[in-house]
Amino acid sequence: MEPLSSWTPMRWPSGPLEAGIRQKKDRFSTELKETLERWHMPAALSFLKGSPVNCLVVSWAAGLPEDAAQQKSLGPLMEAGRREGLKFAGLITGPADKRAAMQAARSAGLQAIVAEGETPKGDLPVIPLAEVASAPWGSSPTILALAGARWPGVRGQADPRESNDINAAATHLAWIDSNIYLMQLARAQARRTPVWLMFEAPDDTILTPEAYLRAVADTGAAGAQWAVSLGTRLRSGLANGSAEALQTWRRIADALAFFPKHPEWAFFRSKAVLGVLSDFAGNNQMLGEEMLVLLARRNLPFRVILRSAAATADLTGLKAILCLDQETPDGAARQRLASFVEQGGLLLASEKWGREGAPAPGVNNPRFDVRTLGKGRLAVLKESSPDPYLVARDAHFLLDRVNDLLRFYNISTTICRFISAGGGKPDVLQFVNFARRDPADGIPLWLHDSYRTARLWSLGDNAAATVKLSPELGGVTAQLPSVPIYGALELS
Amino acid sequence: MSDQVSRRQVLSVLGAAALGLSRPRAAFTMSAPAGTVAIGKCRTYDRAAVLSTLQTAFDQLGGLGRLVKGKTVSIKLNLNGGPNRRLGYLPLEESHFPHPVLVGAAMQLMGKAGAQRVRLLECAWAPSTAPLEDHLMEAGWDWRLLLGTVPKVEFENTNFLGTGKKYSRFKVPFGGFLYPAYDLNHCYEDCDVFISITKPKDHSTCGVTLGMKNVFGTTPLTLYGSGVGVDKDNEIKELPNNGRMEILHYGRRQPSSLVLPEIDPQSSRNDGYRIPRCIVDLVAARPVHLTIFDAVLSMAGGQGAGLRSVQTKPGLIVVGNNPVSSDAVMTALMNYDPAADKGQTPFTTCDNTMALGESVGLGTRDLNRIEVAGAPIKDNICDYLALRKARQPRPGPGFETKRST
Repeated sequence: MEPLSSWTPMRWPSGPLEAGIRQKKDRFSTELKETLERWHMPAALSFLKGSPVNCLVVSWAAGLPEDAAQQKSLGPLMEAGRREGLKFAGLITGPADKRAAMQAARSAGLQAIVAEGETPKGDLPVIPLAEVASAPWGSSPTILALAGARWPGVRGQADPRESNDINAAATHLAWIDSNIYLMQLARAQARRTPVWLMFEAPDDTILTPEAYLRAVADTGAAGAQWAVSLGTRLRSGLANGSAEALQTWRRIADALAFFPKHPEWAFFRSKAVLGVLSDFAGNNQMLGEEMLVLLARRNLPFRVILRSAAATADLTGLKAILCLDQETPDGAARQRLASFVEQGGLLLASEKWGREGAPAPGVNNPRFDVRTLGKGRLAVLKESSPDPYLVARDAHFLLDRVNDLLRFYNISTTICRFISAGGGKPDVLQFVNFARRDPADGIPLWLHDSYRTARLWSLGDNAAATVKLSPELGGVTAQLPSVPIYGALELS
Repeated sequence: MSDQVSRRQVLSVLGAAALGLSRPRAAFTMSAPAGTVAIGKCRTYDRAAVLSTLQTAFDQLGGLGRLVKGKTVSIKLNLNGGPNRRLGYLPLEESHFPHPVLVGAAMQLMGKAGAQRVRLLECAWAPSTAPLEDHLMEAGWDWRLLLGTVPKVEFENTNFLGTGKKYSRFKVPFGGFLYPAYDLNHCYEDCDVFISITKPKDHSTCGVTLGMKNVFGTTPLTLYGSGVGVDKDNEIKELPNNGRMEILHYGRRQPSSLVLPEIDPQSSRNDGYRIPRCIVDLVAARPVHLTIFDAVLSMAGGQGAGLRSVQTKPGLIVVGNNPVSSDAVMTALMNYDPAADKGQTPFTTCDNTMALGESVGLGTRDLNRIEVAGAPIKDNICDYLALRKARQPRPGPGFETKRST
């Protein structure tokens, strides 16, 4: 069997169990009911031919009366799928009897189980399904299925459930849901564990093909794989053989094929001058994760530093560290951070850190008490519950935009991931454009480093295009063309 | 060089306002003061070239020392549009932002002439409330390079209270066209000299945007921004995202009760009527002592990067000591007629701001009365008029094209 890590998963909602689950929710339409039934039939698999998808994640057990019927009725679908080379992973959720469900899965010939929480030991591979904070990172899972990911897009554009009146932030910048920050948090936990993101397409809005492509791109740029989950409308169209639906699927499949051609990008390290240190748990989880979201929205690349690893973390290249946890690092970790400041770094800390050094002359920040300490600066929050948006902005300002690694122009709807393999290999800047309309202008991208060559990959490309670089402000400006969905700029 | 337009002078010609603007074209208000405008050729932003050109221009106006020695100078920059919106791939300062080299050179000369403090001011693009330095850095300026040009250099984003504790109220000496007074950030009051630095550009509402129009951007969004509370200001975090459209542009509502309401809420709501009047109110209330045009490189077709905009290369630095006269000369250098009336290019849908300013005695737009020093106008025209004629009509919905830059 091919290793699990080579699987390209797709969520396959079908059959009586899925109907049972969804009946309990709103919007259980006739269309949805019929689609679940039709996707339970072997004929539904036909559109997958030639696509990169090679693993279907089927609903297997949820502790509902429909579990048995589901497992029994999946037989024809799985048999037809296996003939086409597909693998099947059974999703076990809720109060299901995991032992029984896993035995049934083994008997039915499933290749793996995706399950929440503790699972009984067995010889069937288990892919843990969990949120970042509770995932069993220490058990070195072969793959981890990450819950808590969001449908990527501009808030209010793709997800009206979130209320259209909050589609813009205080900055007037559109609020973007992206999973890139989430994956950076995951990568800090386990650098090389392959991750599936388990988010579903919203059913209460009309999704354009481009919305699906952005979902693929955002996940790929994050260094994860999307367990592809299509909306009911598209699944219905595919079941009906709609030409439009098939065309959309082909575009999605082409996009899915792009990232496996660049597998190393998933595991490159973040190229950053700012470290964000936290345990991202308990009382610190909300502020810690919010900071990652807001920094990502500013296109300010960061590196996640787990508090548990602070004493030994690699701080190379960092100019500043943001550490807002209520419990400040102690012992060796605190010494490490103090040393970082002494040697010229900037530490932005919660008020719990305490005030050291002398007030920095000429700096009057409304939220941070900025002090000089050794060759560096210590910025201590003046209050315990600061506005995260303003803190992110202050962090950027105090870090100093002189240290910006990049600046996008003519586009305000990007989220990026800047990564580096080191060792003389090209840096890669991946970015997703969430704008609904194609940008009419080219995109000037200023880069701090004086790169000599730049090659742009777009979604689905088999070859990269050369991008002109021109010197500007000590770095270079890449003259990117209009990039409607995704770009990956290889910089040497 | 004299401080050409003081509030006292404005008051002295109040009667001119009553004359209105319905006179025949080129019937200039003879009582309006005439300034001196110096035109210097400068093809590049090479620091030495810019310094030399500016120094000559200032000398032609009588020298900077008389104006700035021992004084606090506030400079209103014209950082129009967001800091991350470029005209094609051009750096902002090569199209619509004043170039930092020019601003730095002007400050250096002010320092040399004895200025004690220079404040760089701008209502940094709504609704950003970041410090102005942050805004400048995002635009690609390194503000630290400006430090040391004068003994004290300060920056303030004047879109809100900033470092002040209260807003300063500027009464319009002649009573005002639109409002009797405007409340602005304290930096516009706490200075001895006020300077407008801008690039010459076309403007969709006002025909052209020049030194006077730059002053429109002194109005804080906390008070004049869309969505402001009826009886409270906009909190900094709540600054609106469509600027001054509701209140100042279209008069769809009155501003917060914290500031004085409009003089005549029944007057035209057309922004081609309102904005020129608002500008003149502001320039009368907050006199501009010096206008500096960064016309080395600029743009036509709009005030900010847009589909219809193109870069221009006038190759000039123009400095004037009267806001109306300075704008008139710059308008002529753009190959437009500063004496044109409403309905005539470039004021096809608006009143001529210079004419309004002249009518209340701010300065003359009569080129025959304005002393032009340095390079002659006729030999240095950058033909914005031809560019305007060559542009396609304004695109409607669905129009998609790419400009060439």
